[in-house]
Amino acid sequence: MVLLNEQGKRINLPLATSQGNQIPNEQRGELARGIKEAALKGMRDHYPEARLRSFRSDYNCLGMVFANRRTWIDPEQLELILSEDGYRRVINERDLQPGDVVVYRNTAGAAVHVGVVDTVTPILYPASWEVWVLSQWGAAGEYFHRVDYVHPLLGTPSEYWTERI
Amino acid sequence: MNWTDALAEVESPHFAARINVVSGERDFFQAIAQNPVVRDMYRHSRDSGELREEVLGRIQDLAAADIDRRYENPNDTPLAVLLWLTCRAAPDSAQVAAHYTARAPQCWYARNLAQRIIALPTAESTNSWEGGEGKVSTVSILPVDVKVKVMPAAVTGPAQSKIGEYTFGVVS
Repeated sequence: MVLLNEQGKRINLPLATSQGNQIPNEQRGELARGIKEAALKGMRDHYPEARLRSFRSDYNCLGMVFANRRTWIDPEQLELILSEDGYRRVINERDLQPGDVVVYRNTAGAAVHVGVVDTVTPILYPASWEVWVLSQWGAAGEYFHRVDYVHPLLGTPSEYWTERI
Repeated sequence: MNWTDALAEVESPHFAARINVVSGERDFFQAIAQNPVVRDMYRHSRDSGELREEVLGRIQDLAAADIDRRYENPNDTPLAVLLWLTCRAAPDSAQVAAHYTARAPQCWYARNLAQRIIALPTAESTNSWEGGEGKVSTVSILPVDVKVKVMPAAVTGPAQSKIGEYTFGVVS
């Protein structure tokens, strides 16, 4: 059964922010076999440093981070979730911890992708932090990758958020 | 890229695989709008009524194709591309194309675009008819330069596709 919220957005699963507002979401089917194989080959050819964790298409990046890999949540819902689930910005990479959220934005400033911080490693030369994240690339699988090592359609890492105390 | 190669490209699994890395409808249609192959197809179809008819024929064929029901429709991405192309290059046929697209089972982006086009309000229902200019409605998930005009069939003439009394056209 498909439910609609007041704005006509689909709600397949009863999902809400901690303040009780519904989060529109929709469960998508698995990609057809030929497309899945093409996606895996494309990743191997063009993103060899990204490490495949799993390949399912019934959730997207927001579904992975905020809905336990159960559904698709459009990136336009991100601001609602961050504001109503108690997230705050993490300004410095040195303060990151595994489980924090990275938000990717396109050139227009719209959120297009999210991931979860996996590791943060200090690099001596040049003095910096190497951040690896886990994220679901649309319908094309879940990968461990450097934070800036993503398909151009997924934008660029823009900011970090956490709900830690 | 010539028309035949471009059509084969957007119907290929690797094209769908590339585009399906995005996570939202807005990003999907922006990716389509910026894709060089789709841009070539738009240029070809804008200048050729024969190619615009071919697009409608492909929509009909792809929407009717048998699929493995355990998976998403493998023609979802090409259907979305061809419907989007129709909105741009043959707006008067967009409603007809959307109705055919909506028949395809287990689609995602194509289904959502088709439903948005089908659900566009008519001039009569919105009471916004403005003389001979029609009402301009925007399909919000499309790139910003695509708007759909709703106007009485009497204004648009007999050669255009009609749904009831109204036809739909892209104005920019």
